[in-house]
This record gives sequence, C-alpha cells and structure tokens, in this order.
Amino acid sequence: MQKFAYFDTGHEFPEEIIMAAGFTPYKILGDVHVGTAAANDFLFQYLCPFARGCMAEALSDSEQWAGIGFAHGCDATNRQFDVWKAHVKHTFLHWLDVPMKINKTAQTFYRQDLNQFIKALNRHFDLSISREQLRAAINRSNKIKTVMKQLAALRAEKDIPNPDYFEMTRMAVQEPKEQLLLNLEVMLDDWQNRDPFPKDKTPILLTGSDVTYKEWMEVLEVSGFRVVRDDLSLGERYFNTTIQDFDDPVEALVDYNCRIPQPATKVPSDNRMQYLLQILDETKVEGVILQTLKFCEPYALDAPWVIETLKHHGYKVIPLEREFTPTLDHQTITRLETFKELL
Amino acid sequence: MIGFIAKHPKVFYEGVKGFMHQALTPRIFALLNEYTLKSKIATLLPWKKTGNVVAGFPVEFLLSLDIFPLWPEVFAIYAGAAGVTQPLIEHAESIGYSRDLCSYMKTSIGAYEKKYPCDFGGPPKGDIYLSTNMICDTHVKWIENEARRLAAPYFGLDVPSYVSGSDEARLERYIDYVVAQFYDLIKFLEEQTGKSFSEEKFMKTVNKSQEACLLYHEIYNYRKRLPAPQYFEFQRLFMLPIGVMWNLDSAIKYYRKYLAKIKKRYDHAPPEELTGREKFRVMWEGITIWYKVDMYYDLAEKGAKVVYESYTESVAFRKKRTSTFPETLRQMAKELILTPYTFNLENRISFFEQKIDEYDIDGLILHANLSCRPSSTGLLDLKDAIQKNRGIPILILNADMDDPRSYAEGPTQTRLDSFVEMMEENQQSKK
Ligand code: SF4
Ligand code: SF4
Repeated sequence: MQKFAYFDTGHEFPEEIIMAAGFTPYKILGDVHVGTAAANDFLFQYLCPFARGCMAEALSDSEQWAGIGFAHGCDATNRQFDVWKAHVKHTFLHWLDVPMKINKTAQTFYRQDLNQFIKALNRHFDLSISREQLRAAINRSNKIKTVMKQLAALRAEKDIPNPDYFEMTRMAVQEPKEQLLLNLEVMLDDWQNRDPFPKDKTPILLTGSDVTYKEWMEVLEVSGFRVVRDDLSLGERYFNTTIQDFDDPVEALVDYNCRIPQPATKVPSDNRMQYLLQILDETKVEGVILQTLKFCEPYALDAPWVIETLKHHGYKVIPLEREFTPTLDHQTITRLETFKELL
Repeated sequence: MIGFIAKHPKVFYEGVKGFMHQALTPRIFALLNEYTLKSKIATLLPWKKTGNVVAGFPVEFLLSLDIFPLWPEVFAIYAGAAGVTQPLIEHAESIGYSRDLCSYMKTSIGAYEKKYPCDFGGPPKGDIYLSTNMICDTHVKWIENEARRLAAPYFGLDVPSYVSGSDEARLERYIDYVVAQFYDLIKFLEEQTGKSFSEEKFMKTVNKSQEACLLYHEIYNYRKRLPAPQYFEFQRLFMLPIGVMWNLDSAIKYYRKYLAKIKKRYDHAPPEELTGREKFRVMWEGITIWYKVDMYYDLAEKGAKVVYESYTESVAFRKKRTSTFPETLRQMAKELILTPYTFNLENRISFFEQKIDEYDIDGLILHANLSCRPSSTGLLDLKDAIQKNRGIPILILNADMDDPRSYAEGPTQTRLDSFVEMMEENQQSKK
C-alpha cells in the first residue's frame, strides 16, 4: 500500500480518511541524522529545525508518496506549505485548515474542510470514499489507540526504556496500520512480561515540543529518568481518545477533534493545562521535564505559564531548550542529573 | 508618569531623546501623545471599557460598543522608537521567555512587569483581550497569556490561511467561517459590556474607518510620484493613526488635511517645483527597525529612499466602501484573509512585481527579522523570483525590529553600502 505523507505539528491530521482512501498514512518526522541541509536553501536557519527536517525529508522522498497533506498547526505549517508547493515534487498536495478553536463555529467549518478533503482525494485518485470505508478505518484506528494506551500505561509499572516507548509512538504514525496492530499486540505481550519498574529510575512527565527522534529519549534514559506520562502529540495525545461510532463518520471525526488533548497551538490553551494536571493527578511522577526545541514558538510561548502553574500545584519542573541533533548533549545530561538529585 | 521619571530618570531622558530623533512632525507627535494620554485615562474611568488588541483585529466591533482599543504592540513600538527596549526584553527573558521569541511581545511583558507607562512600552491593563492568528501564533498566545495572567476575558479570532494554490471557492468558505466568528465576537462583546450591538452604529464606525483607510491609501499612492512625498522613516509613524483606530474622526481630519497638502503639491504645483526622481527608489519588506532610524537617514544620504513597504500599506485594512451590514462583514472577513502582509507566496511574488513596477523600484531590502518567523518564511523564494523576473538588486538584512542586540552596526553598514553600489551599477548598465 502506498504511503500518503502528512505534515502535522500536532495530532490533528485525519489519518482515517487516508486509510479509507486505501493509503498508509505516514507522518513526516524528518530524519535528524540527515539533518536539515536540503531545506536550508529555502528556509532560514532561524526557523524551526524540525519543520526544516520535514521539508528535507520531503525533498528527498516525496516521489515515493501518493500525496502530501498539511494540517494547520503552528506558523511553520501555515507558511511553509507555500515553500513546499514550490519545491517539493508532488502530484497531490492538500491544505487542511484545522481550526484553532473547537467551539461550534469551528466545528461547522472543520466539517466542511474534511468534506472538501475527501472530495479532493476522490477527484484526484478517482475514488469514491464511502461511509463504510471511513467507519472501518475509524474502527481500526480505535483498536490501535486502545492497544497503545495499554502499552503506555505499562511505563509506570514495568521496565520500558524511553526509546522503546518512542519507537512505539513512531511506528503508530508511520507504519501500515494492519501490520501495526499485530505488532503492537506482540509488543503488549512483551511489555507485560518485562521486569518491574527499575528502582534506579525516576518517573517523570515529559511535555513541550514533540520529541521526534529516539536519541533525545536516550538522553533522559542515561540521566536516570523514565517518562511514565507525556503531553506530546507524538505520544499520549495521539491515542488518549478514541473516535465515537457515529452514523456519519465525518461528524465523528469532527467530534473527536474537539475531545482530543490540545497541543499548544490551540485556543483556549487552558484545555492543555487541564489535561496536564489531570494526567499528573492520575499517575505519580517525581517531576516534570519541559523541553522546547530551539525556535519552536508555540511551546516556548507557553513555557513560563506552564512552569509557574505546575510549580504552583507543587510539581518540580525543569525547563530545557534543545537543538535538533542526535548527539547526546552532555551539558543537558549534567543538568538533568542535578535535577534528579534535587528530586 | 512622574513616578516613572523619578524612578528611571535616565530611561526617560534617553527615551525622549530617542523618540525626538524620529522623523516626527508636530501633528503626528500630538496625535500619538493624545492616544497614550487617552489610553491612560480610559483605563482609569470605571465606566469605560477597554480592550487589548493586536494588529489585524477588526477594531470597529469594539469601537461601535464604545470599547477603547489598547495596543500592546504599538506601545512596544514606542519603546522601540525611544530606544529603551533592551533591558525590557532581557527582563522578559529572565522570567522564562526564550531569546528567540518576538521582541514586541518581550518588550511589552518586560515593560508591564517593570511598571513602565504606555509611552515606554507598558500596556495598561484592559478589561478584555482579543487577538487573531491572521498574522502569527505569537499574537494569539501573547494576548491569551496576558488575559489569563490578569484574569480578564479573552477572545481569539481564527483566520484560516489562504495558502498558495487556493481558489475562489475556498476563499468563500473561509469568509463564511470568519463571518460566523464575527457573530461570536458580537455575542462576546455584548456579554462583556452589557450593551446591545447596534448594526447602525457599527456601520457608522465602519464607514468612518473605510473613509480613513481610503484617504490613507490615496495619500499612499502619491509615493509612486517622482519624487515621493514621504519615505519609510516617516510613513512608519504616519500609519499609526489608522493602525490604532482610537479616534477615527481625528484620523480622517488629519489625513484629509494631509491629502489636500499633497494634492496641492503634486496636482497643482508647476512641474519645475517637483524636484525629480530619487537617485534610488527602494522597497522594504518586513517590519521596520524601530531603534535604528539612523539607518534610514544614512541610506537617504546615499541617495536611497524607501518608497514602498507592504506592511505600512497593509495596516489600513479597509479597501472598499460597503453599504449593508452583511456585505460589510464579508468584505471585512475578506480583508483579513487577503492582506498584502500575509499574502501566500504565489500572491506575494506577483504582488511584489506589480509594486516594483508601479513604484519604479531600483532595489529591494528584505528584512530577515529574527523576531518574526512568519514574515521571514518564503523570503528566499521571493528573492529568487524577483531577481529572476525584475533583475533588481536585493539585500537580505538580518536584524530585529525591537531588539538592538540583533543589529550589527559594522556589517550592516557594509552590506547597505554594497547594496547601494549594486543599484548604482544596475542603473549604469541600463544606460
Ligand atoms: S516543533 Fe514547534 S515550531 Fe516546529 S513544527 Fe512543531 S510546533 Fe511548530
Ligand atoms: S513581529 Fe512577527 S511574531 Fe511578533 S507580533 Fe509581529 S507578526 Fe507576530
């Protein structure tokens, strides 16, 4: 099955529509090992390096993709769409303006936007995506999310290294869904039989910009931390909520978009804080790591508020800024180790 | 203010000196002062509602419900023009805002925290907070964060991005969405003020803002003339009365008088009184560098005068007269979605080419603004396209509109010098 790639700084892109259209949804994450060089000819180096990494990947791989979709997220998506349109080889490139808000007015707009997307796919690929196909895709998506949730819950009980968890979340957005479900089930079996949570590791919650490569999860690992909860789109936000079984599957996707935990790009951001406090209440952690990728504005803009609020609620928080690099950053490791001692 | 002067005499002294160094006329100075004074008074009057807004927000809704608009961004501009932003930005960074975030926002936060008056960047506390993502994420989060911190109500207006390749049908859909949000906004404002929205009053307000904007555009068009009546260092202040819309009557009066003066000069004066074309006519893309007016003066000394900037044109949003309420809402929505400063890349390129021709431009300066990632995106494509299609020299200038730490005097001067030389060579080769 051919990949249909999408650039989504959150977790709003409706993968189910792509599945119903007969493609494998593939979330573009860039390749930190390859870097951003290819995109730097078109985008200044003071723009988000993750987004530049995504463009670099698209510049090299887009010919293998059936199409590319963009979901409205941060300024990187809004503005870079045009640059991709000019330089990335494509036969189908679609802009989905996922609204900034989730109220009734936004829902009406989003419903039309989704219908337009389906129409555009039908027209371009000569398809006729049916309700049944959509509902089947939703069903599969829900099954995946349910297993992922079970897997993620094991982080607080079992010995699940951070890179393993990362790999699970990456697979979920990049690999063919039929095989994925089977792989996740095997993984669940494996994780359930792992040793108990290691005594030398400190359970924490990870928030901030999405971590899109496993080396940074390794940084946390070598510093003695285990991410047992997270507030990331390439993470819990993706599988926290399942899609309701409505007669009209598009309506179900609209409803789902309103109920998922919100990334920093949405308004009101209080929803994001409520979710953070809720998951902190659900699982005992010893601290919060708030990392922002250099030049990632939405999370950097939220950072002082998030830190202050979490501290106010009695949580210990360490803010970190990171570069887009697979190199283990020893300065960060030292800071994290000091934080661990404080805890 | 007296308390501020007593506490920060040096900042006050340097600030006034910096501000007076700007290309101010007594009338503009008076208008800006009047705005800050009214802002201070409005926040003191218990019966007067105030609303903190950002660029692009359709202020007419507020005005028609007697809500006085406060502009944190404009106060950050004042601080920039006064040259007092650096300690304010550093203060915001000390409380956790990243070095890479927008310097308008950090100036505003720093000035608020340090209790600076609005003349020096400190935004007064408003009753309500409103912003839109039509230009950037920063506007949304900045104002929402402020509202939350001050426990004030917040309204966010979502303006979809009309990306390259979009068609008319998409535009209509986006207009529908923005118009629907206007009704949400009206409801919100009614709840906050306890007043009923009056279409009639709103239309009167919009008619005035349309008039002020159309006058502004009429004046703007005279910048195509040789020589232009005014340059960027003045235009950036001249735009503020329509930008802040705090008093549409006085803006209309001011622009009307100004237009009459220009007409007299250009339409009725004998041709020999018009001194001829500038040596180099320059176009500028991006926000101005507020603390470095000298840079524009230096350029002018070298014969290079900035005669067109898309953002000083964009600031006057209303471009067409409308008569009915529904038509007005749709037109306003359209103006939000399609404004030159936020044009998608394809439209931006053709728009720039058109302006280069209309304004007889010799060179283009693209401000790669380290504070403003949205406006910096696409600049490299814009540069390539203009170079290819118009063949004029283009300079990419790395700086920041409000943060002097990002301005390197020596290298900037060298680059500006070679830009001027390139324009010179280009002109020679055309002869
Ligand atoms: S890392 Fe931040 S700035 Fe970059 S694409 Fe994601 S949300 Fe946007
Ligand atoms: S300078 Fe740029 S980032 Fe800052 S408020 Fe203006 S448009 Fe937004």
